[in-house]
Amino acid sequence: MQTDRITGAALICLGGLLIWWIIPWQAEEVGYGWLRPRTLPYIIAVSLAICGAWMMLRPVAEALPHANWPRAALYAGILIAGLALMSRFGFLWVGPPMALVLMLIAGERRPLWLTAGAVGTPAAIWVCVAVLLERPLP
Amino acid sequence: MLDTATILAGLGDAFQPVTLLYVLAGVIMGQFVGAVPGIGPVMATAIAIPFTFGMDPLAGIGFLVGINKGGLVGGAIPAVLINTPGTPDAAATALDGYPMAQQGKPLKATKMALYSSVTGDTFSDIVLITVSAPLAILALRMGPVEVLGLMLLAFAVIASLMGASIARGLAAAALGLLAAMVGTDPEHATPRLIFGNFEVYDGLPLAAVAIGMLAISELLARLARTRSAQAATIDIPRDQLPEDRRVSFAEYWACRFTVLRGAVIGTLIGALPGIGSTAAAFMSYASAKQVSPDRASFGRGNIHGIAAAESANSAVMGANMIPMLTLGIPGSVSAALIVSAFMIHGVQPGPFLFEQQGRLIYGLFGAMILANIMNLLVGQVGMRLWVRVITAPESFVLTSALLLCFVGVSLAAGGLFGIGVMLAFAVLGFVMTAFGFSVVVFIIAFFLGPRFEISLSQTLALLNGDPLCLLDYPFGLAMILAAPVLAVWLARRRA
Amino acid sequence: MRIKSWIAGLATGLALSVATTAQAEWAPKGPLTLEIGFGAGGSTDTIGRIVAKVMKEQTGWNVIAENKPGGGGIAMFTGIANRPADGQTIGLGVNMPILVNLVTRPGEMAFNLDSFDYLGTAGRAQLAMIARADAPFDDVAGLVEYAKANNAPIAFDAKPQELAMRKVMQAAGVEFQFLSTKGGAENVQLILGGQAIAGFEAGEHLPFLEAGQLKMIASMNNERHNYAPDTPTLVEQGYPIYVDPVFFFATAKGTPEDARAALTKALADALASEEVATVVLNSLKSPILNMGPDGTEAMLRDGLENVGQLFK
Repeated sequence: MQTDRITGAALICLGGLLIWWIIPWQAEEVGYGWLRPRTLPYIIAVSLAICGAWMMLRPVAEALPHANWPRAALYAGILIAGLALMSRFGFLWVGPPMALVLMLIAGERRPLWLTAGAVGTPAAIWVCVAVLLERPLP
Repeated sequence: MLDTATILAGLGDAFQPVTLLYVLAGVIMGQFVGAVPGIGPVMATAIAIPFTFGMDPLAGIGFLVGINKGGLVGGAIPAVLINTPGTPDAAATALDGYPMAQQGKPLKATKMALYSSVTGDTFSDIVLITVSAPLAILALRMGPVEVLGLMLLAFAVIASLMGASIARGLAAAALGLLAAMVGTDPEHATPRLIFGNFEVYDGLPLAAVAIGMLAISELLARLARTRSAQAATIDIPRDQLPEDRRVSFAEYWACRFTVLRGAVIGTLIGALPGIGSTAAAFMSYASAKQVSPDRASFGRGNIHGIAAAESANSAVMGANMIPMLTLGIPGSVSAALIVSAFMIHGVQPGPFLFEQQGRLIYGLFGAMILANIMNLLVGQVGMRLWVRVITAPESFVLTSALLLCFVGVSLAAGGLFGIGVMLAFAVLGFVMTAFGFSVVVFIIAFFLGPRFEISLSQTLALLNGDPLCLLDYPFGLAMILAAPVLAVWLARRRA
Repeated sequence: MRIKSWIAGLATGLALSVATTAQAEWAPKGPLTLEIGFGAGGSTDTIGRIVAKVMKEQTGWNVIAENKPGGGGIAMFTGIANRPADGQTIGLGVNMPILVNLVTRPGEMAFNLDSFDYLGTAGRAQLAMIARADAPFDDVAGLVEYAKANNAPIAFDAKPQELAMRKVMQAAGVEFQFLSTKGGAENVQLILGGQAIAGFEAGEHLPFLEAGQLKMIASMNNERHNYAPDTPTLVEQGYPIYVDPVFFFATAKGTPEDARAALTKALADALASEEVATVVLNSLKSPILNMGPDGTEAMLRDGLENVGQLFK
């Protein structure tokens, strides 16, 4: 119930933000035509606000949200850090340690599987993409 | 009409050892690559085109057809086994395929996907070979208004099917459409919602958004939930009964109407350029669920759910060739890539294609049927291999899948920028799922968004400000009016 | 086995590159991407893919063709202009959408003609206005007459086509409706399906002309088309506006001299090959025309002036 009210309010805010700020800023004003650049975005923004109001007025009784937030945030953080490092050092240097860290956090301790994930998979990817397809790795 | 000799000569060409080998190679590559998240049939075809330059036309085009069809089957594998569809059309397969795999029956689920996919594909190929001309003329009559109506219908079905409530379904669809607004607007070609990023001038990269929303967010949730990373990803009981490892003919036969309905829906939608397999898969799934006496079991590993989704999304591919071969108008991106291969081999698609290149076209038909048979054979072996992979520990499978997504998206969607988009949408997808919004609805709205806006723009131009003009388009009008009615009806039935 | 020979190859390659860096000819580091400003299956796409193929064979570089559709090439060229000028990426686009956008909305474009180093051209496109064979008119005057009494939806896939028809609309005092589409194939589809009364296509309509399903209303270029010498241009039909679409190659401004020279030469060699000529003739119905780097730049600068007068 509470979740629905909060989510609904967030949607209404998003709709308002789009209508009064983002769309006028990020979509051009055009003086002719039936479907102008701003037409559909405005319709979407209004729909979002209506859905939000609907959720606030008619909340359904479901216990939401259910997720393991801290752990998910930790994994997401590792992936984002991995991407940042990849842009500097490339996949070949960042991929294997990233895989190793992910597996260790997930609780894997057996050396064979750790090697398979941190060495085997990146090597297989490298052979397929860089050698066989001649495409650049990230 | 072509004489029988040409037809037979063409079909005979397809059975030349060289062609056979290339089709087989294409199917194997397609099934393998299609199973990698991020690289769907379209991407695989695009990568393969340069390799076909040196081949003779039929071998090259057969190779591409093999990749395309193999990719369709391959796409179902990660969806069923780890609930991470690489493309949204496989998302419908995951709805029942993944629960069935979790029950310890991954091989049964993937085999059902394989059989219904090949059946749907073969059905639409037969339609293509026999009655493509009249169907193409019918498809030509379906203009912007009808396409718009069909899309509204698809939105209505999907939004009322998925997510925790109707309001959430609609909100997810609106958010997906909003993401589709990023890029260049269709009527005036002005940049929109790009916040200074020239990379998204032609829209957010499809593959990055789809993989982020559907695969990475699921992988994040799975990893976050993991308590015993050393356990197998999917636990197959050692003393499993043989019937849980295979699909018996009786089970397949019990799904015949579901598969046939899916094949018909897929063929009809595929004959219209621009709508695509995702809408077909979900409409087929929805209709199978509605007619089922046991609706509650859908989403919990019902074999009909897999059959409905896979038969429809595969039937779309064959039917996409109908407008291409009869009118020279490609019905999808993969069909457009095959057109481009045709042109480089000196074959100009158009209304004369059958008369000028009859032998080649019948060779192509032969190759398509061959590819279906090979899909079945290669799939028998391939599915076993993939199911073996999935008994590896969860930590290994999920991590490897993450690495593959990184590389696949970087290939398909422009390098590191694509990966960044993927991660951003993964976080959004995770939050949306946690709050009960369906990421599938979001993705479908996002995929259909550009076509939806352009159809809306064309429809408004045709009406020219006079709503009464809609009466000139009875089919389109009927579908537009039916959409909200259907949504309400489906919602009532669900409640 | 394969890996072994690959490592051997790598070693020799390294040795060679060390030995030859002193007087080395420029070569791309890694794959050379040829970005095509339109989607798969059209004439630009065909040219791009065949050029990439021949270039790869002739130079031994790893040339990859990639579709970057959006805004008639604006998306792709915006990317090129913002890229590091390292010679790793070249763009293939059509001049008209670029020029028209630079003329009508100069403030909003993220590049101008100074943002690029030009490499060459592939040829001219012959843009035709077409209608279904059973349409009740054969020329622009007939179309205008038709539009006086009926709704006249026209399918277009690039801004210049729409602007040209808006000029006709003003001059003739009639009203057309404009159906924006994703490409020439969709224009043909809407025309054949009867949803559009006329539209535009640059090459792929020829089989339909031969089949008697479509007819040509006007040449949109300032010359008649070589395959239809009897169909007059829009200018000849009394509306002083035309387009002159040219397929051209460009890369980011400031690309090092040696890289630019190597790319220009590789491109010119590919365009001069028999294979490219045949495919381009098949899809464009017009011959290869490489204006070279300076010619390309001059063509664009003159074009900008011309388009400015026509479309302003």
